[in-house]
Amino acid sequence: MVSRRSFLKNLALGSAVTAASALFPGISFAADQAVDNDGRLTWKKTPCRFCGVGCGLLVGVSAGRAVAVKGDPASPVNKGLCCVKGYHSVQALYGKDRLTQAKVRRNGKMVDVPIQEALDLIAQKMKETIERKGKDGVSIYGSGQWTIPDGYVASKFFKGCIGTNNVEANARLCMASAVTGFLTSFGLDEPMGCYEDIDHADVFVLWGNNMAEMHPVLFSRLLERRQRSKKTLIIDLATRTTRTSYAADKAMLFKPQTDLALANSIAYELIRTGKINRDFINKHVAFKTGKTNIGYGLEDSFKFNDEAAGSDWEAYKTFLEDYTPEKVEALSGVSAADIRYLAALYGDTNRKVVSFWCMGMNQHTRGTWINNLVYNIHLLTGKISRPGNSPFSLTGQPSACGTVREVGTLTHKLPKGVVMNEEHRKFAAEIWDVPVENISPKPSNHTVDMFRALDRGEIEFMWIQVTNPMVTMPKLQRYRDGAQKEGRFIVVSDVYPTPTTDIADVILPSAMWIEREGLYGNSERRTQYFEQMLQPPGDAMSDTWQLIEVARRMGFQKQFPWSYEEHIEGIWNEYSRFHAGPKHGMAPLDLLKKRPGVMWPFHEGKETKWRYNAQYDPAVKEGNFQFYGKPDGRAWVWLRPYEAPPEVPEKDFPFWLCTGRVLEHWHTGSMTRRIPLLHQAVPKAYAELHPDDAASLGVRDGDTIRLVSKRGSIDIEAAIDKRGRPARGHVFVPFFDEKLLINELTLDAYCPISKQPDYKKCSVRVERL
Amino acid sequence: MPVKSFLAMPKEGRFQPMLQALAELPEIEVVAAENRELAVVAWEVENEEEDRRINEAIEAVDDLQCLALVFGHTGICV
Repeated sequence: MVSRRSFLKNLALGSAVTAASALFPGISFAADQAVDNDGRLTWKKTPCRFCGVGCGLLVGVSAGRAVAVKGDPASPVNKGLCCVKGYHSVQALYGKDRLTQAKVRRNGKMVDVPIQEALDLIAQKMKETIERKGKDGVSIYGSGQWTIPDGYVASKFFKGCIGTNNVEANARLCMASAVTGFLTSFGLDEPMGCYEDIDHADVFVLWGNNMAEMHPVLFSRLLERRQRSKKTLIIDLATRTTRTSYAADKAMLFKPQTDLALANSIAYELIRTGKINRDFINKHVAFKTGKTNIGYGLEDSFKFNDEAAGSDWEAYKTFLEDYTPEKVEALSGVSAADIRYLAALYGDTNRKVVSFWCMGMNQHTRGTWINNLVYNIHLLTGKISRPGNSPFSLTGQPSACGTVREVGTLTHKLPKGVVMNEEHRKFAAEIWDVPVENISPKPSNHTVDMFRALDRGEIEFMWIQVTNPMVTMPKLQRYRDGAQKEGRFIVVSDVYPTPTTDIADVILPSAMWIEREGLYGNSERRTQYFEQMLQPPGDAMSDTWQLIEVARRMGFQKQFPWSYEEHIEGIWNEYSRFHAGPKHGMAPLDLLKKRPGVMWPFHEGKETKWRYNAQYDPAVKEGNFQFYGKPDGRAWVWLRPYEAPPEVPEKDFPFWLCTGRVLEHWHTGSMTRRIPLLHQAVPKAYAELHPDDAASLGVRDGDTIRLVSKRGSIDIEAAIDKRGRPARGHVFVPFFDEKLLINELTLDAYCPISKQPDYKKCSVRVERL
Repeated sequence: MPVKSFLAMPKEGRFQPMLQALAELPEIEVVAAENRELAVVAWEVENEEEDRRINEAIEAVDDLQCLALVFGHTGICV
């Protein structure tokens, strides 16, 4: 029954749409069918489930099923466009082997049980483990695909209630170096700029970032910018020729790890030619040195803490003398002329420059350093925190920023601050309503260490949510074997069977994405809300609610008091208290429900697009710029040298191995491989070889080859000049294929500051079969 | 019970900011075009005073170039 009022309003909307169609033939409206949902599609907004760009989608729901997707034209992120994963995203909800029942391992076999029984068992096992091993005997390993409420509840439950800092997330594998880069250079995490920088920039320098495949919608915005402004340049700096390289105005290949030297050489050249912003440096920059020869984390006993020491302009200039373009040409393979060209672009006062990067710089045994060194370039030129001038670290997952970095689901973090700081612990304990003594002042295990501790038996219980470490951990066999040792108890919450559910003792079926209510936070500090649009299948339950159910069983009813209907609102309101104020204020839930995302800091009704710049940022109290994350209000330029990686090609293993992703598949493929169109587009992993290397080995396209490292081997199809072309002496393999686990070969070396592993460099042998 | 709909056109390059500003007004429904910089705006309110207040709020949106009335119903039947 349609009321007279809604009939009139629908008539008004319909009349306006008709009038627009008469004025502009061919015009279409995103939500034109939302006028009436009586038996027709209802369109609802949500951020995309996949990468960290955070595109706004409109999902068409009919008869309780998601049946259509289109880009949300009201979203300032993607302006109505989607990539192939976004357009097919809802099909990931309907794979034939979707997990709908909880399962428990009994006598070696997984058997279906009611989910309440599985939750009882988890609570019992956690209590028993804590009694036997202490609080640090239990752990949780989550994800940058956790919603904000998932991560918040996990942190509160484990750190606040149980009292262990064994809380980690897979963002340690993808974004930790970005975090430590921001913290060491600026004292606060996450980019100072936003995607709107793209609309103002003249030059885009992509540091080891195949944006055309990994962030395709953002890359289309770069291409659009170049089309509108003819002087726009896209520069691709990479170790492999990709679709991004082909679209770039200039592509430069550098040898693995030498991006450190390249960045220093650009700085050297900027200073030599006087293309620096001396006034900005004098007012807003301090110089620091840290430890060198810092190791690679390969040993279980490895420990490292950096120490900043003061430095100065003269020492910095002297330090850079090791990085003349000629010296760096010999090391990196990039010509001195090209290095000077890059420095000229960065130093040109008539050009605005954005640097983008993602895994290439972050999955790096000196990941923190290379982040620091690119910031150095922007600080020397003053090209920072202004529209179109931005160093911009992109994320790979939909809420690596919103959940892992902002909520702080890493061992050392709290929603505001770090566990080591007494004031931060007191603040968290007050909001969480727990004794401050509950929160341990010591970080326990970062991700690699957590899996090592599981292997050694120091951790016996691990709960894994929304991630697939039995595909993604480097040097995989050690951690797979460790997780299956006698006495370990593994709980896995997921939506499909994976190699990680294969090693589980309990599997919980999770509600996926729009089957529950939640929020994500994307790369540009944009928080996005989505409502529950669909009923989850069978017993599937949101990860948030799974955690709450277990926490209550363990006696923490007081800390988790919310009803199911109101728990997301309750969590959001509580979590927002951590960030109140002009530096990190979050938008109220009512506003998030209405808008296609809101950027933080949200203060006095306004978003902050450019932080640290008084023109845009209400937190700046003195001067035109203030890097208020540091006590002295200055950003730090670091003197970080080039240091070689731990493993380089040698006689028995003469090739570099680099791993990564492809456009069509999301991470380990557990969802996108259930989407027939995407699966058929790229049905299996492959090994890219340079055609000259293939010819020397006698390998043709499509032949099966064997890749061997010191840690393992796989047999895989060779791909010659297909999607990308590695440099000579390099192999590239994507990691989405659970049947071809490339991480059997990779090395578990990590950046000693960020503890993020390097998936881009190890040595392998290629054998013709 | 006034019910109205309009076509809203932004100043050049200000489509997204216009949509955001309109979306901040809780009483109105905004439907953005996918392939043109144009939006449909509609509302229904209880009385003429509310209607006037919304009109004023919309006219205060800086990024709005033009607002064209398409449908208007005052709720007064003759």
